[in-house]
Formats: sequence, structure tokens, C-alpha cells
Amino acid sequence: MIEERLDRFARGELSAEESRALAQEALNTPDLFEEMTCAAMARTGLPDRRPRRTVWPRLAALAAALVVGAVALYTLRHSTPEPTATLALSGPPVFLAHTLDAAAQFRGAEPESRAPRAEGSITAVADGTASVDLGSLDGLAKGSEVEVLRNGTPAGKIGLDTIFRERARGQVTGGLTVRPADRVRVPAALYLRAVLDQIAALVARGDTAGAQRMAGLAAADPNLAVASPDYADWNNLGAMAALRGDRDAARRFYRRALQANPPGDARREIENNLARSGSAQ
Amino acid sequence: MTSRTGPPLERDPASDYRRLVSVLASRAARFGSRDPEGAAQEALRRSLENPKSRHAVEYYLGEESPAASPAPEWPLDRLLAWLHGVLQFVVREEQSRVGFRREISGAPVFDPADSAPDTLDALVARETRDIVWACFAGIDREYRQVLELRMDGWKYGEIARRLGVNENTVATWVSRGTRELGRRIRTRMGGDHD
Repeated sequence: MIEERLDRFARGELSAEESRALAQEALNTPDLFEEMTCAAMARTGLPDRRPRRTVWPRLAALAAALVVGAVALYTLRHSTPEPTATLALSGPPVFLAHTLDAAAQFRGAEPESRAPRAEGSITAVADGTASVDLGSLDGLAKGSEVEVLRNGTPAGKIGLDTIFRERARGQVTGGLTVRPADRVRVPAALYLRAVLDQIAALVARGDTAGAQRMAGLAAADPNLAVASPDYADWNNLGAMAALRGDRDAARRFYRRALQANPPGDARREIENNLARSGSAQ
Repeated sequence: MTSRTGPPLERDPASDYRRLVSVLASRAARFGSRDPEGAAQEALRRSLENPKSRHAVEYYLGEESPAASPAPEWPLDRLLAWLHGVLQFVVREEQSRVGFRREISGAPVFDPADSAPDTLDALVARETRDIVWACFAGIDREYRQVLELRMDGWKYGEIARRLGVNENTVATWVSRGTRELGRRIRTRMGGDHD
């Protein structure tokens, strides 16, 4: 009962009355008070990055500000170089290491790992349970679902309950009849996350060339953002773009890295990378 | 340097909030206070000075039921995070005064010069944000992913479709992720102060 209420507190779902009742219990139980305080810090310390809505009365002022800003930007761009470029740093870009979690290491740490795959096949069907040739290496986890494709379009799903490194099995949902060799697809977010994890593992091993090859899978994918890359992911994609000479892409990735709230030391490295990518123009 | 003499309150907070003072005092002791009871009372006094936190303290943590009182502007999580920050601020003020500030590895240090409510609110928010981000990278990928999408304003249904899981799984990951993050914050604070 208390666990269920703490879960709802952690999701911000308790009413004011329910919150008071829980707070009153916590006053009698210091350990509960401590747990709630730390969960409250977790909730309130994460930034709200939702796009801000503009109200109508402010639109005129906003439009005026945009015009002024555009004129100022135009003037600046035609008179001075980008500020970061003036740092004129040289040398190769710096990669940032992740604190890899167990799942990420399981997916990507072995030297002979194959690349994550976005699609695979059903390998066996028995008693409503389907086995597929995709696994944690491809971003799947217990509770994930893969789409079953018929003629290239989704026809149903398999809810996975057993996950291995390169295979998984689970229950077919929605009454669909599946057969071995049917194609299945990993959700884009999970697949891309697996690619980013493997890039991180390759970077951590010092295999820049391997990471560079893998980066081609992620960098060009328009859905990349759904994998929630963190500052290190964005920075490393930027570093790889810089190594292959694509400075525009490198700067774009570095800016995304700076928007992802890097801690102080990492922020400085990313800013230096951004300066490097601009200094050689 | 600030003192512990603010404007007089109509009632004695120590008796109206005796259990809260007790809980805050045990936390102040863990933060290294030499006068945990005094630090707890000071944190409470400053919380009652700020109109927003005052209403929330009275509503959620008062000994008497707030029968006809409207719900406060602040939710409970905002209040608890505030109380943590104010208490830590008060303890650091105390340590600064008596000149025995301990070196706390990795912990940002408040400037105790200005404890006005607005300034204090900003300091508390900054400190909370710093420690949360320091711990955020350590939680499981799945939890981090859904919390990041929530930060970006995604609804449970949207996240579920993106990740190929159902909405109940998303809700579970949000609560587990938040509580796991809370546990890491707790461990970090314990490590900082023990």
C-alpha cells in the first residue's frame, strides 16, 4: 500500500489531501521522510524542457524582438566570426566516456559484437510463443515489443518476456498467426539507443575506427533524438563527424551536446571541440 | 552573516511542528550541525517567513488538520526539496560562523551572505539541480530515457508508442526511475556527510 502511494508520489499523481496524509505518516517515520525528500529532489531537480507556449498579448513584443534579433544576427554574422571560432583551438576532437550501465556493456563491450539490427526474423513458433533472432544487442529488453511485418507493413506485435544477447522470445498479441521467417522490427528508439551504446563501448575501448563506422548508422537517422542521446552521445557523434571532415554536422552535434546539460568538465571539453570545429574554417 | 533572529511569529513553531522539527534535527545532525535542534528550528522559521513555503508547511506538515484550507500552490515534492535546501543552507551558515567548515568533496558551497527568500529559493533550486544531474547519469538507461522524454513534455502514451511498450510500463519506469534517482541522491548525500 505504501509502495503504491510512493510510486504515485514519484509520478506526481497524489492529490493535495493524499499528499498531506503521506507527509503526516513520514513525520512519524524518519526513513520514509528521507526517502520522500530524496524522491522530491529527483522530481524537482530535473529540468522542464517543454517548449514554452506564447500567449497572444505577448506575440507583438515577441515578433518585434525577433525582427530586432534577426537584424542583429545578420549584422554580427557579416562583421565578426562565431565567438567559439575565435578560440582557435587545434588538435583532434576529444571523445567523452560514458558511465556505461550493465545493459549497455552487455550489448556492446565484446570486441566481436555485431552491429545492432533494426530488423530480424521469427525463428520458431510453438504454443503461441515466438522466438526471434534479435536480442539485447539490438536494444531489446524484457517488456519490449517488436512489430511483425507483412509485406513491409506492421501486422501485429510480439511482447517479449525472455531476452538473450542475440535472441528473444515472447507472446504474439492480437490473435495474429505468425510463421518462422516472418520479419520483425525493433522500435526505432530502442534500436538507435543500442547503436549509441555500442558507439560508447567502442569509444571506451579506444576503437575510434569502429565507433566511426558505427556512427554512420546513427548520425544519418532522422529519428535519432527519440533514443534520448545524452551529452556524451552527442559529443561523440560530433567528434566522429569532425574526423570525417563534416564540420557543419560536428558543430550541430556539439551544440546538441551543450543543450543536454553536461557537467562542468564535460561542458568545457565540448566547448573546446566546438571551437576546434569552427577554427579551421 | 545572518543571525537567527527574524520577525516574531504569532505562535511557537517548535510546538506547532514538533515532529517536523524532530525529523529536521536528525537530518541536520547528519549534515554535521553542532546544534541540530537549533538548525531545524531556524530552517522551519525561514520556511514560515516565505509565504509560499509557509502555506505548504502549514497544509502538509502541520500538526492540526487544515480543515477548510485550500490546497497550497506548492506540491509536497517542492516543499520537501525546499526544506532540504534550507536546512543545508542553515547548517552551512552555522559552520561558516563557527569556522569549522568541513571540506565536502564535490558539493557546491552556498554563499551564506544573502538568505532572502527569493535568493534562497534560487540557491536551493540550483543545489538540487546540481546533485540531481550528478546522479542522473547513473540510473538505468530505460529509466533515464523515459525521464528525459518526460522532461521534454512527452505524454505517457506518446512515450509508449515511441519505445514500443505499453503505457503501464512507462508509468512504472517513471516511478521506478524517480525513486532510483532519489536513492542515488540519498547515497551521495550520505557519502558526503558521513
